[in-house]
Amino acid sequence: MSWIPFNHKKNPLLCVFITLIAFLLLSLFFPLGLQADDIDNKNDLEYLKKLSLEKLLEIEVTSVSKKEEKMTDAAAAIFVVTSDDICRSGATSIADALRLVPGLQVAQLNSNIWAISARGMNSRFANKLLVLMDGRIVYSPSFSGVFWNVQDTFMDDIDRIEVIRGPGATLWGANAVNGVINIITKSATKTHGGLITTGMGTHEKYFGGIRYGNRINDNISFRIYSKYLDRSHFIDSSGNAAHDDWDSIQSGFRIDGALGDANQLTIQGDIIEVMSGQLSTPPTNEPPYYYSIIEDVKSKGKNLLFRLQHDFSNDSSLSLQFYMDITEYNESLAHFKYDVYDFSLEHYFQLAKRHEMIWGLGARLIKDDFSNGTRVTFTPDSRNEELFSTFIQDNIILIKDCLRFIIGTKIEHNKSTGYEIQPSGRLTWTPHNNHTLWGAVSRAVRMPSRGENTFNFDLDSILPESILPVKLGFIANQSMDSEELLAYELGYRFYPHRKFSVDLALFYNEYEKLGTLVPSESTIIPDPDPYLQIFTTVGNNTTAESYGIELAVDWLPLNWLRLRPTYTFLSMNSESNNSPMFKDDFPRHQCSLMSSMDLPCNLKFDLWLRFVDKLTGRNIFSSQITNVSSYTTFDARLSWKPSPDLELSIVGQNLLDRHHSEFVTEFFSVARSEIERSVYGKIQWSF
Amino acid sequence: MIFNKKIIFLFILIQVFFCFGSHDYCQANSVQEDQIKAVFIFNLMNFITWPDSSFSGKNDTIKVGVIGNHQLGTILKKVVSEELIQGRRIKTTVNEDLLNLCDYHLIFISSTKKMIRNLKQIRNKDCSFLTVGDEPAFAHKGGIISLVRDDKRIRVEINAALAKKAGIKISSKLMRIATIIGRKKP
Repeated sequence: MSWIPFNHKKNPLLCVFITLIAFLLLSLFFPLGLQADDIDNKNDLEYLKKLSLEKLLEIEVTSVSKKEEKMTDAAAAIFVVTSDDICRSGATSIADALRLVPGLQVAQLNSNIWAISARGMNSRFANKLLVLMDGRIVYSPSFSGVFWNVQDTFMDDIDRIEVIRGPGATLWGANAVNGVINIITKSATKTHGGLITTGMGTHEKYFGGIRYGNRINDNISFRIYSKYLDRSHFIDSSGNAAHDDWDSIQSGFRIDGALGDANQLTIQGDIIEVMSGQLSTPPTNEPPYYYSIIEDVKSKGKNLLFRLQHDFSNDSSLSLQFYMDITEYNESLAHFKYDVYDFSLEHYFQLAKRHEMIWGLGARLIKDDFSNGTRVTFTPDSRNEELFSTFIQDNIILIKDCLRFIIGTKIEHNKSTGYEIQPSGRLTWTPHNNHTLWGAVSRAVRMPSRGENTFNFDLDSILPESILPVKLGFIANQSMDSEELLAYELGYRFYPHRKFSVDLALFYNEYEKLGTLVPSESTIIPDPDPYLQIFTTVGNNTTAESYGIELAVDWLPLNWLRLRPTYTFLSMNSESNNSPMFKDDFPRHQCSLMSSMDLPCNLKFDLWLRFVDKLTGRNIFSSQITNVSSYTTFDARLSWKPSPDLELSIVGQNLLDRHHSEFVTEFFSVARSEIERSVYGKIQWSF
Repeated sequence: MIFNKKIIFLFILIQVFFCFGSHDYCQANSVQEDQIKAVFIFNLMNFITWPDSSFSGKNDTIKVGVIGNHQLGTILKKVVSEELIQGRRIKTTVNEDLLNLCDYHLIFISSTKKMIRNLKQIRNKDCSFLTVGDEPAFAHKGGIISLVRDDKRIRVEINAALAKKAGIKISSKLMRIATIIGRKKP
């Protein structure tokens, strides 16, 4: 039951109009937003001029224009989520904040598991996205995907999240097939002082954090932080507890400083411990053909990063980065630990007047150790894997302030597939200050993960409808090849006014050698009780094509009102010998409207409406299909600052429904939860 | 169909309720960063004393150059139009490079790496101009005043030693609200 008496009919095309109608109606109320005053409201300036210096420094600032300026230059489908956007969305995790980005598919499976991808091919183990946090790659080498519940930081310290949809492999490297998510935290020079946040709510049972930053000397600043969160469980479709609670504790530090005139040093590190509840239902040969396991999955992580940037001259700088990242993961099915050591070098220089060159080298060592259980084995159970890479990119200014051509390639070497070449060519045309057109053709590859290469397991039995009980097994494919993508992109950015911008991206992707499951052999074992044994492996047996549209509009009709509608269309066709993957397992239409209002008396009010189209979930072993309905929901946030240092806020999430489901896991039977309506209150005090 | 209409209706209802409830009762409490910086630059000129030798006469204008942020420059032009500082008019120009630095009394350099690297070159010039920038370590790298975005507010840092070297006097009122860089510990 829902408190809004509507029927969940699904007519995906109507979603396009939700945004448009709301947008148009609102424009009737605020027709003045785009009128004559072309650079700034004269009254605003007159008001500001009357303020004392002290009062001027107390005013909160927004910097929409800055973001736009950076984005205008980019020859890629880039979207930036700022610190202020995250705060005003009410998102309490990085995964939830990513819902702000058009072109991303963000779905929550349960309280602590997300499936996030760009431009389709989403799953709990989505493996075509490169996620970095301050330059540190955070995807798990075991399956090339991200454990989102272990990727956390002090949310107020996030400076911005840059999301590049489409291949970013030339600069970023392997795995940047469908997109790159770059989470960037603030420099320690920007976080002086203390900050305490705490809150509680219906789903966010309790959360809190403290950060303190200061200056070590004139040139060096530091900050330290610690945070804790305790999220309660959601419910399953029958209304029972889904046992998916989530507890996390994390601490970290960051030091930024200038060493002399030409060197910038960053040292940072984090330590995190996460306990995630999980209800899984592995198959068995006794009716009802599955049994339930409720357990706490324990994850630990620690990392340490050094980065040094040296400026040789006005037109030449060198950046060196080294980090180590240690992760442990324990659940009943798998225990593993991997240590990553990563070194990279980047050199930027200007060659003649028209060439901005950047080249780099990278080396990465992954040492892993898997504890083999009775059902799951990794062969070998521990391995060292080295990855070497180099890249070069030339940004050629063909016509100053008008036409740029960016060409580059990355060459990588890994043990399993050898050399991989990932070139790209991009063209940006700025015929006018307010218009930018860009186009790109790029190739990207995803190398096979440790799991695909060396993972074997036995499951007892499923498929109760068959005559004989079935034993399923998975055998690794050590000769699996890399997946390949050839992507064509076109984009248009339009800034008719400082308070209005449109960003449109179109893409067409051709995938080859996609890794999907292939039944390799089936045998009837007669003795003692006859059963059918089916072995499955992973093969490069699927080709697919996808195309889509991504649209983001940013409009400030009034100084205190900002509206941001987005729309995403995605379509995909796949051809495979045996696998039914990549068919309808994505929302064709998604749209959202974020409205941010700065009200009198230091109040702020935000509404965030979202529509996500229906999709189909498919268990890749049993071929069982589950339909997930489309959903529309909205979040609301009201905050009040009684003094410049204190902020009180109340946030309602998923308010339209009592609960809805967003995704179905395709691999191992982690139970699906219903995402429930929730409310939390938060206090934030800076000192 | 009904479902969508109701959602739109509910959403707009809440939106409009808050919009009408808030209209123009008091000033917006969140303002564009460039607006604040432009007004701050204008205000801070009241607290700066340039040596007499930097002006050609009593009626000479205060010349302000803005580099790397065209929008801020345009706003600043609006802010200073028809204003007098210490009895002088202010002339603002928006530049792309650092030619003829000694022609200016105040130069604002936006966070452009290339420009920041030029600070060494700027310091070696033997004339009295004030450098203001918005790069986080601007005042450490050879600039005189930094307007640093610190979370959601602007923070001011002043390199007092460099100001003194340039022959520029900064009023204690401005110094009080700023963090002073390069001050020797007692």
